[in-house]
Amino acid sequence: MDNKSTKKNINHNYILVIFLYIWSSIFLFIIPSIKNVDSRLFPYIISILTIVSATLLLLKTYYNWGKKEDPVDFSGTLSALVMAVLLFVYTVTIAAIGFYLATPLYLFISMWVLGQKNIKLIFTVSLLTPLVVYVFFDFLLKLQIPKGFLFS
Amino acid sequence: MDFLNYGLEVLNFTNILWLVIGAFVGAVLGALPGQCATTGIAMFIPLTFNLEPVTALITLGAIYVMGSYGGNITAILINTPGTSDSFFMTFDGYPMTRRGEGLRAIGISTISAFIGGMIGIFALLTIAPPLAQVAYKFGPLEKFLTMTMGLVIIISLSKDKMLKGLLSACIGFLCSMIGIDIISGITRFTFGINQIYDGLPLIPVILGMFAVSQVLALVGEKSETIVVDRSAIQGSVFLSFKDIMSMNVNNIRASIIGTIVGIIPGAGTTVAAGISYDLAKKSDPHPESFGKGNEQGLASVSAANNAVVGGSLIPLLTLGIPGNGTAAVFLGGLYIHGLAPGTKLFTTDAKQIYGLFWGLILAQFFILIIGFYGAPIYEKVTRVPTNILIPIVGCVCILGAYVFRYQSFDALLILFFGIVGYYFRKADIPMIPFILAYILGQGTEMQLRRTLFLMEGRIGSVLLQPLPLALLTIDLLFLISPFWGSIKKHFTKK
Repeated sequence: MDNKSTKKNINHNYILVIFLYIWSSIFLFIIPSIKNVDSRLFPYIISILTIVSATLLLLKTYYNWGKKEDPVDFSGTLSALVMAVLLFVYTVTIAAIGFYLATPLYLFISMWVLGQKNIKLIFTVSLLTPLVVYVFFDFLLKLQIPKGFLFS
Repeated sequence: MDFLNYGLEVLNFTNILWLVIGAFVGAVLGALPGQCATTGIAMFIPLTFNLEPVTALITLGAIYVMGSYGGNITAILINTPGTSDSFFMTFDGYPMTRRGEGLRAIGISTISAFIGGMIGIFALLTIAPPLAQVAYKFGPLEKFLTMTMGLVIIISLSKDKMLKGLLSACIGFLCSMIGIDIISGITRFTFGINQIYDGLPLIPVILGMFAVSQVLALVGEKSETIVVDRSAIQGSVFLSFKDIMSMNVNNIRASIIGTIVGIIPGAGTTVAAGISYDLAKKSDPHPESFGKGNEQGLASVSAANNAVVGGSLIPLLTLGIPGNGTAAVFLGGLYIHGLAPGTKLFTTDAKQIYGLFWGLILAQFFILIIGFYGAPIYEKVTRVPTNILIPIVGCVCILGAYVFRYQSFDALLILFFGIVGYYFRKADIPMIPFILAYILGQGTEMQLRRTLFLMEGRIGSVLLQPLPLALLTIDLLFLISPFWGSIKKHFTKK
């Protein structure tokens, strides 16, 4: 493991610990505002346990206790985030124009972005998927498929 | 007798149709790299809402069984296990394929998986009902200790990642406390968001953590389509009676190991397969042939893998402790359909649970069908490019979130947990403790508070009762077990 990778690994664990400290602190700050005393007990236990565990992780990372962790590999995260954005836009679009209109658009764009270049295949899958969903889930299972606020 | 009576009731056209659908979905997902039974169950839970509980359980059970088997064929034919369950299959399965015996290897795997699955379900049928009666005697303290035992075991089995496992569980517990406190009725940690007034909804959390995070991970990996070499699909998949009998000893031993390992929370198929493979190798007159296409090795792994399914459902259905990650998600499916582990499941809800048992038995026969006739179809399935598969899985996940409560907020929540799950994967933080803590969190808190209320300061006398003491001892033993080697070394040095 080279020094740069080791440095990346340590930085990542420190960030995780800081996040956990912040999150537990928020919970500890809010807990006293819970009116019922008994309702505060379990949140207190877990928040304190989280802080203790995070501190142990901090010490483990700083002093290199135990087995050395492999460096965290965040390669491919940009592509994953692009997919996450596509899914987010898809979600918002479903709310607006409904599943049956949003899905072909989403599938077309996603497959294209992910590198599928066969246009016929893209069109086939984009049109077939909502059809299968309609037959299976709407017609057979009677599930309410979202129609969007423009059409409801 | 109940089991037979309910069989006549539940084996109708609708249930069998859904069994077939679940079996097909499980087989396909198990074969596709990056997908697994856990993803399949998570995706199908919301889609089974409008089904009768027994039909839903049969479907999810079929996905579980076939998902565990599904990866075998691709592991044997193309050295690429569809799931981690099938990893050991590549040791002897693929070498058999390379010497032109691919179909024979599939035949061995199929028969062994069938035997393993049936033995696992037989154990489930015989152990679960009486164990549920024992669970009936559990008070709040025993229930609390049982729930924490499942978590402690899973965290302790993370070994080098124990701290991260513990943190994962803490995050899961914190998520479970969002919403209404079921004892006092007070809302906690909602931050003014109305949509989580009654808690973080189960489906978006599970779908996000497992399925959406997997979608994001696959995109990041930029995996290529895997192609099966047609020359591997030659010969005959059917074995002679003599061949089947020659593997009986390994099959039965591996099935028993798989069932027992399945009962232990967190152990999983990899442990079962590893132990069975090792024992088969040690007892074989030619151990040097293992890893080079030994049929006994292949048989033992296959039998152990499928036996785990039945074993993992024993603690799940009786005590509410999932045997592995897939069973943890299955538990979510039970709750969604208004069922809860314990005695009531085998009395008031007996129709549902015995329906599940029948579904699991029939799904084993689907293993035979898929195994004996499915290899050419699998060859086509694995050709589906990931850049088509990923968007479709994403679409099904978002749809699943929408049909749960018909709220856009749930779809956004699924994305949020998808990103959290993606981070967990990248940072090597175990996900199962999170899911288990999230699902069991409210129940654990409730039992703890009931215990404290009933104890009224008499902690010592209550804890020293036989059952609580035994459960507490098991908890502590599992907590110490990862450090046992170091402690022993320390004292030996002195």
